This record gives sequence, structure tokens and C-alpha cells, in this order.
Amino acid sequence: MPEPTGHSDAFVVQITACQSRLYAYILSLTGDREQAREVLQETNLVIWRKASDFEPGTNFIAWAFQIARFQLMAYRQKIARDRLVFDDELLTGMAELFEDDQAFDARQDALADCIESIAPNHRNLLRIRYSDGLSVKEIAGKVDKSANAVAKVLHRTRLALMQCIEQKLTEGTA
Amino acid sequence: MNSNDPMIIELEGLLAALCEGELTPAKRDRLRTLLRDHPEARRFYKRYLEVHALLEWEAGAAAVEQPVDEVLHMLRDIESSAVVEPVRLHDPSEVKPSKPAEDRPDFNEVAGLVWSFASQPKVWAPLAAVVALTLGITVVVLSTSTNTTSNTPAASATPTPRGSDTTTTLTTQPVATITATHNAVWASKPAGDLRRGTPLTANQRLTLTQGFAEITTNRGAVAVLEAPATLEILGNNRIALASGTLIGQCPTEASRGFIVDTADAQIVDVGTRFGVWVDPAGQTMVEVFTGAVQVQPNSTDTVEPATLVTSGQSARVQNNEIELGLITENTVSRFASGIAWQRERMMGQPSLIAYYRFDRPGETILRESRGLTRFDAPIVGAQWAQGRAPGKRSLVFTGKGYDERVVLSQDASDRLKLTGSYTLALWVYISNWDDMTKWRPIVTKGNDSWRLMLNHNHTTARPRIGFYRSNDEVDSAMRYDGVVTENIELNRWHHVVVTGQPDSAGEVVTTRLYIDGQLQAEKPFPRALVSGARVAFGAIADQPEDFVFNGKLAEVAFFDRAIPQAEVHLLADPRQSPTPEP
Repeated sequence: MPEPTGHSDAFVVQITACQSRLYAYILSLTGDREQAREVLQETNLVIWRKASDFEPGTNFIAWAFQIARFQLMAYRQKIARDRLVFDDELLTGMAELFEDDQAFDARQDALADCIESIAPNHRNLLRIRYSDGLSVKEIAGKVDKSANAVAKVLHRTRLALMQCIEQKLTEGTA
Repeated sequence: MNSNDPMIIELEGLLAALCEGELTPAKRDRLRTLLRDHPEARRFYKRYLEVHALLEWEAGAAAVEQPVDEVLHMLRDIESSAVVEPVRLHDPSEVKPSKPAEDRPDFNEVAGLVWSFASQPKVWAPLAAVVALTLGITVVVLSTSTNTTSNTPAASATPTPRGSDTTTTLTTQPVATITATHNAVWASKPAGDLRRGTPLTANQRLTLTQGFAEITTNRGAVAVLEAPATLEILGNNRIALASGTLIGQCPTEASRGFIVDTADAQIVDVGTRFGVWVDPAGQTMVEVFTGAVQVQPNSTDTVEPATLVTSGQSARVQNNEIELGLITENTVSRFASGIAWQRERMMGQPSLIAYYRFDRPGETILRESRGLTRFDAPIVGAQWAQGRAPGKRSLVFTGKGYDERVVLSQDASDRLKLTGSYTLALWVYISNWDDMTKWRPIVTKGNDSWRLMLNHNHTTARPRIGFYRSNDEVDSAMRYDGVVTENIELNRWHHVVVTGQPDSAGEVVTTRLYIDGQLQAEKPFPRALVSGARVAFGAIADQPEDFVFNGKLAEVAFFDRAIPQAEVHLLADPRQSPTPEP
């Protein structure tokens, strides 16, 4: 493996800081966690290798998203097209939504606060679902509910978090 | 972002399926279509998936590990619990003081919670792995522990931990208000604070154990609850009904799209009045009184279009199946008590000038129902009879002309000129009758002010109801204008409403005629003239010739405002209560 060049501290901070944003973008396009992690890993690899191509002072996010977009297109070639949520046309449109998002970091911060604001049981459900990785069917089987019922509660929890984030950002700018 | 938009509602179902790995190819296609065709869908999708992605991203290890089984045990009631615990607004005691992080008790500990998102995200693995691969150094990523041990640049750039230093109380804004109650007893806390005017916040859960309550959302949708009922406020136009009876109504354009969620189904109002009943077994029953609602069984499989349930139909939702049926009017309905309460409140408003309930059989005086004696009038000739439903009464007129009449006093009549804003509402039964050539006065103010009459169309020979006003006088000949509806069905009860709404200059009054809750005719009346004639039921005062009424009359009301369509529907609703009206 050749020694990469151009890995200044600033570059490392930038690539680190945009990880969650890249992941959100890629996951929104793949719709699948494992696929998203695979594409993110490929993207990171390319970013790292092409570090010397990046011109300091230019928009790192746009550059990284461009790489992610190409990686998604390449990934799309590898798998059956039906398995991706997006076609190429929408892929570009969604990238713009994520790239132009100036408030992503603020929303990420707000989410952490919002998670603490929700009821303990719903926070526990998130833990079981996201951290312990149980599927809704597995959770449903253990709590004697239907999978649909569990999915509905999870959906409501995400919606509540979404609304909470919007509200916090509105309050922050008021 | 309008969460009541049917497109967004459909999108939500698809996103829920997507996040749980349940998106079928058909759903995926539908999702692509929505995203391609609707910019708003793309924005919503981005925000929703962002939350999902960040939850994945931040799903680190537990600050305090607790066995999964224990956590699962705590989740058995989660389906019926609020996502956000309700907090009182503007209560300083609810706001925890800001303290340095090291001095502050851990929020999770205080709440007995088990999980913190402040820990290292396990999804950092892709970057850490790349860094390790590229730099050729050892990286240890403990994907489920609280610490990531690494001396890599990536690890040194870990974002500042969030969450654990914040003891935020969610300051949710009110999204609905309790707008009325009747003998209400609440089991919800704080029960004493739940009264008319109480603001309600998102995710607030309410249990009504006795009486009635009306909740109005910020968007203007009205939900009438009849005890026993349990519900949760989900948003500014959305309510979850866990059990009990709810009557929903969207009186304004802004309130359309009002959503009622139950365990089995989601009901979306598309401009209507409807009832939802969740029985003790959790089964959902929907009745549509007017308009239509969309009903969709709760399932992650929500690609299929919602079922449209229209006026007069009912829907029973069970096991993700919808069984449609027909509502039988004039029969006992489980929603009738709530409707009757709404109607009684309407009849308690100051805008009501006079109301004749027709509920004192045997008396020879027709009484104004609130005791306004100047509106009382002698009953001449007409007889008391069965009304439009069991327990209801009416006056029957048998075609004897002026020998059957109720004529109000001059004082009362002067209050009923129906100029400016007004409403006349009543129930009428038109008996079949051979001689259709004669005009039949239902309620009138002389022959030269206003007249609600039955006559017949000369061309079709079909009976019709019209509200006529004198609007000018040319060469001593009175000119009339009227709003008329054709083809009135005989030998049955009809609810008739006439409203007048003047323009800003007060020169033109838009007059509307509703039959059985539906707008039948609308017309601007300029320069309405009003004589000093007296108001009469079943006759025209001081006009003994030519006019005869053959039918029944009941529940006559006059308002000094033009009631909107929603209130017309309420008055015209024929559902009967199994118990005496409140």
C-alpha cells in the first residue's frame, strides 16, 4: 500500500467530520444498512487515496459527496438495479439536498437532545432496534406484539424525533 | 411540510417499511415515483432517512448495559404509550437548571434509563478500517462498547460527545386545545388542569372516564370525545384513539387531512364528518356522516391505496381487512350522544334568536325552548304528532288552510326580519297531496317579506322547496326572487336550512338553501324588502285564502348569523341517541 500524501490534520478533521453526513446520504440512497456501510467504506478509501487531488480552501463536502455519488453509481453497476431505492436521476438530486444542507450538524446535535426528551420506553426501543440490532419481527416476538405494531411505534418515534429536531432548530433561530 | 398531505401519509408508510427492511419491489417502485414526482416528498424523505441514518450511526454501546430481555419486558405497553412524556408548559419547575456537566446527575440514571447515544458510534468502523488499512496501523474498534481505543487521526477527531451533558425538557408547543367539556371526568394527569381552554401538546395522552369533551386541533379540526375514551394527541391535526368514541369534523379547508390513528387503522379526513369507535377488543369501526374519509389498515404493507369510505357508509377494520357496510339512518347510533351534545351547544349560543323544540305535546301554546315568552305563540288547529324519531314531536297540518296555523306576535316577528346575516333551520315533512297547484307555506313572514314555501315546477310537475324574498316594487307590483331546489321527495322528513350572508357593503345578501345538509341553491339577493307582517308556521299571516299546508313541522330555529356548512350538517344529522340528549 503506497503511503498516502496530503493527509494534513485539517484533511483528517474534514473527512472525520463529514462521516455521519456521508452515511446519511448513502443510506438514504441505498435504503440498506449493510450496503450503505460498504459504499461508505469504498468512498472513504477513494477520498483517502485522492487526498492530494483536493485543493485546500475549496468545498470539501461537495468534493466528498461527488466521490460518494460516483461510488454509488459504481455500486449500482454491481448489484441488481432494483435493490437500490434511487435511479441515477434522483441520485444527483438527493446529493444536492444533502450537500446544500447547512444545518446538518445542528440537526445532528439536536437529535441527541431529542433522544433524551422522549419517553424511556421509546428510547429503549430505539436501543433494541438500532444498537442491539434486533429486527421488528424479533422484537415483536419477544414483546407479544405484531411486527406491524412495533414498526408503527418505531415510525412514530422517528417522526417525533424529526419534529423535535425541527422545533429545536426553529427555536434556535428565533 | 404538511404531514396531513395524503402523499406524505403514503410516503410515511413506505419509509416505515424501508427502515425495517420490508420494502417490496412494488413498494420500491412506488417510492421512486413519489420521490421523482414530488419535491416535498424528497425533502420529507431526506429528513426522515437522516433521522434513521443518524440513529444507526450513533447507535453505540449502552452507557449502562441492561440485559435485552429486561428492556424488552419494559416494552410490553409501549404501543399505547406516548413517545414524548407530556410536560406542562411554562412551568419553571419542569426546567432543570443548567449546571456544569460534572456536577449534574446523569439524566439516564435519574430517569432509570439504560441507554445513551453519547457513546462512540459503531458505524465509524468503515472509516477506521480504511484509515488502518491505508496507514498500516492497528485500530481497535469496539463497536458495542463505550470506548473506542485508537491512536488514529480519525479517532482524535471524534465529534464532541453529545447528549449526556444535556437535561433538556422538550418544550413542545400546544398543538390542540380543549374547546368544550360536559360533565367531563378525566383520569389523565393533571386532571384538574384539563378544562375548556387547556392547551394540549404533542404526544399528550388523555383518558376521559365520564362525560364529553371537544378538542380542536391547531389546524381547526374538531374531535368530540364521549367517555370512556383514551387518546393521544399526535400533532397539530392528528389524534390517536386507543379506545372509545370520537366524532371528527373538519369545518375549514385548513383542517382537511385530519388524521385519526387507531391500533388497526388510519383514518384520514378528506373533508367530512365522521365517527370512529374503538371497541374494548381494539376493533375499529368508522362511520362517515357526510363527505368521505380514507381508511387504511395499519400495516407496513401500505402501498395499496387507502379505501375511500363515503357518506352513509361504514367500515369495520379487522385483521388488516376492511369490511364496508351501510349506515341505516334514523336508527340508534353509538355516535348520536356526541352529536346531540354538539347540537345542544350550538343551540346555547347567543346567536340563536329563537328556538322551537316542539317538545311539549298537548299544550296549546308553542313555546320558545329557552323560555323567551315573547316568542311563544298560540297553536290554532294544528295537532301534536309523532316527530322525526322516537321521542320527538311535531305539529301536523292537514290541509285546512288558515284554520291551521301558528302566528307569532308582532314583537317576535320584528326580531325575525332576516336581514343582514341570518339562518332559518327546521325539519319538515311534506305529505303527499293531489292538488299540487297550491303553494304551501312552511314558515313565512307575510306575503311580502320572506317565505319558505313548497310549490311545484310547472314544467315537470315535481314538488320543490323555495325561499322567496321580495326585492323590489315596480308599478305597485311586488317582485320576488328565490332560491329553489327541485324534486323534493314527499312523505318523508327533510331538514331545511336557509342562510343569508351580506357582502361587506351590506347591499347584496348571498342566500343559500340546504336540504338534508346539502347545499342545493345559492343566489345573491339585492335590496331585500321587509314588511311589518307577522311570522307564521304552516300559513301566511292574515292571508286566509289560497295557502294551505299539509305536513308536519318541527325544531324551528332562527340565528342572527349565517351558519357554515359544518353546522348545517350537524343540525341535519338524523342520528338518534339511545339515551336522552344531554
